[in-house]
Amino acid sequence: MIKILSDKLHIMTTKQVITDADFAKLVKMTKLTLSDEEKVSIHSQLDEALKEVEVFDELDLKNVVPLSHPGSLQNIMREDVVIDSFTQDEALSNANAKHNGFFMVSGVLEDQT
Amino acid sequence: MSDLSLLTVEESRKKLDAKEISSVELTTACLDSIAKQEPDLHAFVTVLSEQALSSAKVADQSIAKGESLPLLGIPISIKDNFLTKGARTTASSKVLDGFIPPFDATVVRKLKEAGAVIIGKNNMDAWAHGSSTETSDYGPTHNPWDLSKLPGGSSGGTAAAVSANEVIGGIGSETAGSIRQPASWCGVIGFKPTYGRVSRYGVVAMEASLDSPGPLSKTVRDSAIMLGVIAGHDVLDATTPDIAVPNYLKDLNSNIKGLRIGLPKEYFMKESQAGINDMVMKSAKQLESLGATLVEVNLMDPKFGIADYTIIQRAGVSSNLSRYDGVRYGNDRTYFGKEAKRRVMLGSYALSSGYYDAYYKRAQQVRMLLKQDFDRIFSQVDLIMSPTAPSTALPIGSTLNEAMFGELSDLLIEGSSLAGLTAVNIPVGLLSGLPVGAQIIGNHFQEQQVLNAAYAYEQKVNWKEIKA
Repeated sequence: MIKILSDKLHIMTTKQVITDADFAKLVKMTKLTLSDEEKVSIHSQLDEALKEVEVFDELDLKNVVPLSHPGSLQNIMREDVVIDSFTQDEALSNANAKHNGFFMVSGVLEDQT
Repeated sequence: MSDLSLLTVEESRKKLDAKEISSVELTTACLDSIAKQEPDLHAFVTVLSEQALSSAKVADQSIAKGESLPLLGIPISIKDNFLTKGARTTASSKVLDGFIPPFDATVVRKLKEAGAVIIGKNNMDAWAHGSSTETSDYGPTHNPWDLSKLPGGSSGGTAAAVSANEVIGGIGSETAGSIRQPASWCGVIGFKPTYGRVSRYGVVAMEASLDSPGPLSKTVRDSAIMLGVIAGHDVLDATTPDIAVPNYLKDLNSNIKGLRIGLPKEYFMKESQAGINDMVMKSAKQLESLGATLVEVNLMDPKFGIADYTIIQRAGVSSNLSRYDGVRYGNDRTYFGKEAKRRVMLGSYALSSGYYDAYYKRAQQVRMLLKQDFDRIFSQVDLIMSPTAPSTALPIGSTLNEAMFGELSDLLIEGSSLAGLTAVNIPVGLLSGLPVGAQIIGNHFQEQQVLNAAYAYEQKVNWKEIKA
């Protein structure tokens, strides 16, 4: 069934859409760890997914206003009043590493010398 | 006494109020049903036995004092992407394994305030990414109708639990199909409210302009009860408009005379599994026999919805999953599964400089066209009806190497989700022993009309007797 549907949508592709350099940049930017197998399979799967978007070419999008939200969003205002929030202990309750009541994070500035 | 886990929400309410049964008895019956069936189904990530029994005792005391609340003493299960204070919430991802939320989602708070006994957290596709429950880091849920089949997803655990009478009712969430499609595959009612009708606060976010929590239930009346509890404006979610919540149960009306129902030609696809279109068409004819008028309409080809959803949803995922750093809670990003990695990367690509206009901006423009297309149809008809999914439940293992499985099985749903519409899945028959679902889609905030049509069908037809 899935094969019949993907055939209908012509989404199988061997064409590379994302360049190898862009793919490597994406992995770094998203801070993900990919196995060698995943690097190959995910790259081709992303290419397939982007191939789908070619159907947009069939539509006239000139002068179409982009829609970011299905409702009619408007700015919501409220009184600036203090409400109860977490205690420090509650906020830290799920942290793997803490120190003197603070989250412990990995170093950002490292010695580059 | 017969097996109490078979009761509906409404039947439970009556028996509890009449003191024919206690909440402890009802909760125990559900826990027994869970204990008996879980080894086969795996519909739960976490069963909250002790907490549930303790809530049931409190509920019994309240009932003894004469209190009555819509869900007082009734065991409900919740998809594991709703934050539950003090109870592990994983969204079926090992990234959140061991995460104990310090607060309740608004939906959970409302369920508790309505007296519900939270009996456990249901399995789902990890992060709700999928339509199979097979991408769960805790293993797949099995379909109660045939254990070798998938339950659908992402709210597959909830759909299976309701279908197998492990619980009295359940709460899921839908971004595009995650309530309707598993409801279709498991033969239950699955109700997707209008975007903004139910608060997203405290729900592990997937795509902020699409996510919609909603009930999965044994009957339409039960969905009306649960929707009434969870719907409404929330100061903690600015996308919930301050529109009064009707009394969905009280206003439920099976008189659908004069209702105009559109049947979109493009949604009765020739590629769908043989028998599905016929069965759904027959269910539409049943509504016609009750006084509704059927109108053939044209909607944009579902292929546009799929492509559009793929870009919009991935973009949302890449943004929403960027917060998981393993510092404040949860494990680090090495714990993400393959599906999450795929989605984060595609979304980041579509949003990145140089590609934004070609992908994300164009997707938002197509979204506008999809919405305008539905606006046009709703100027001609009151409701739209079509198959929910192009197939009945597929075998366990079907998602293997099928990166687009979720989108393809939600092909007939994505457009209406992008347009923010409300819809319900109703079971309409059995095809080779597996449930077939029809979806009834309504315009924004027309939940009552959708419920009424579903109720009219349910009153008229015993779907389990319709076989092909």
